[in-house]
Amino acid sequence: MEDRLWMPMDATISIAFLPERSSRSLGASARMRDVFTQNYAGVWRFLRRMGVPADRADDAAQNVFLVAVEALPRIAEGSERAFLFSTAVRISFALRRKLSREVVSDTLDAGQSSTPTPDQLIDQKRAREMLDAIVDRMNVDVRTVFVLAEFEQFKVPEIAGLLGIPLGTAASRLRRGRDQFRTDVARAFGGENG
Amino acid sequence: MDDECLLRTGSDRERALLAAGIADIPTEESVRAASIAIGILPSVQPPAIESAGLGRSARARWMKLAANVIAPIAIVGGSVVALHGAWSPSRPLPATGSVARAEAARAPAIATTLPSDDDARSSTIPTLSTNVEAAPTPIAATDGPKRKVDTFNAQVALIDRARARAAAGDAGGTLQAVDEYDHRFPGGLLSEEALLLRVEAVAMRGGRDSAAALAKRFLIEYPRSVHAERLRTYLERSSH
Repeated sequence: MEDRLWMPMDATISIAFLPERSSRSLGASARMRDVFTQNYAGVWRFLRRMGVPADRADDAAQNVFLVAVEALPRIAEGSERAFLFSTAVRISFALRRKLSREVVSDTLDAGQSSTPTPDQLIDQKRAREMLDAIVDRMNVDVRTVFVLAEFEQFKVPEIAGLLGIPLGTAASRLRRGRDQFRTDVARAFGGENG
Repeated sequence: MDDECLLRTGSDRERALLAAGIADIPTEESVRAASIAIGILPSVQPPAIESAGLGRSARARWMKLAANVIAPIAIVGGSVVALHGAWSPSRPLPATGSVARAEAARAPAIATTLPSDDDARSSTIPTLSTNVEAAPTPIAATDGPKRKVDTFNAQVALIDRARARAAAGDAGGTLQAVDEYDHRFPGGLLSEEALLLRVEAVAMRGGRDSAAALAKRFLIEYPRSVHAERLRTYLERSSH
């Protein structure tokens, strides 16, 4: 997208968000709108499950789509989602490095919290904290595959293509992720996993 | 979804945890800010599932499966219990605190509603709804969802008209559209955009001082707007 700046030009200034005016650009705008509508929540959710903090997730997700806006003419029709998540993977890795979040806790905080009271019924926030504690313990490569498969329903061949890794590697990482998830859920619930 | 997907094959607890992750969605404010930053506004009335980023048919089917297998399950602290009632795509949960913030209330479309504890007693999976409520518009305050969407459509149409006139270099037409917007929807969801267009239209007419005054007003009213930096730059340059 053209990066318009507010600049007085013969007493006229440009509006940053005005859509492009050519028919080609209007088509691109409509395409981008569809891509955004269909994928923003998924990209945002992916970033969160990859450990991007809540206060950074909005910016990170926005950056993913800004990259997509620039690249849109070069993205093949039907490949938009793969492009977005591929970009999201890179951005989440960069953020993790930046935030030094590679070191994760050895303890499963959620599982060690105090015994819940009956009043703590159906606490989505608590469930998400528990979930994040579990995926935080995964190796980042395993975690990436696990999150793409379990939360965003990518199939193994798609994940392999998206990450540029062999099919067997993707399958192996997903298997490890699932095994670890099962083990840690059981651990979080005191050895039971019913 | 592959056959070994935990959402299909996992234990109740595993599926409940996964459902909590799936239900984690961005706020209205997040959606709005991103849509403006990339140069679009969200669709006026996207299908509910599409607005969750689950627009494709396979993902829609997956979401339904998630609803079916997870609905009766909930995390109760460290355990999992069955719930009464089930989530249905046709039965969106009511909006709760997540849409209460004033900033979020101005967001157009794609509302994300997370369940409160009470809501969650009847469902563990929040749904998304086209939510344009909380705008202090005279019409939206008392009417039903369809009317609210219609109202929002009217707001978008006016702003689109203003944009089109601005794009055509028609300052008068732009001002006419934003005047109509402000008259019909005082404090409406797209007031920020309306004011921005007003700045442009006034500048287009050569009203440098007036445009600068409007730009300053914009910065006071919307200091965190994605357009704020550009307006500051404009003000700096126009003052020289």
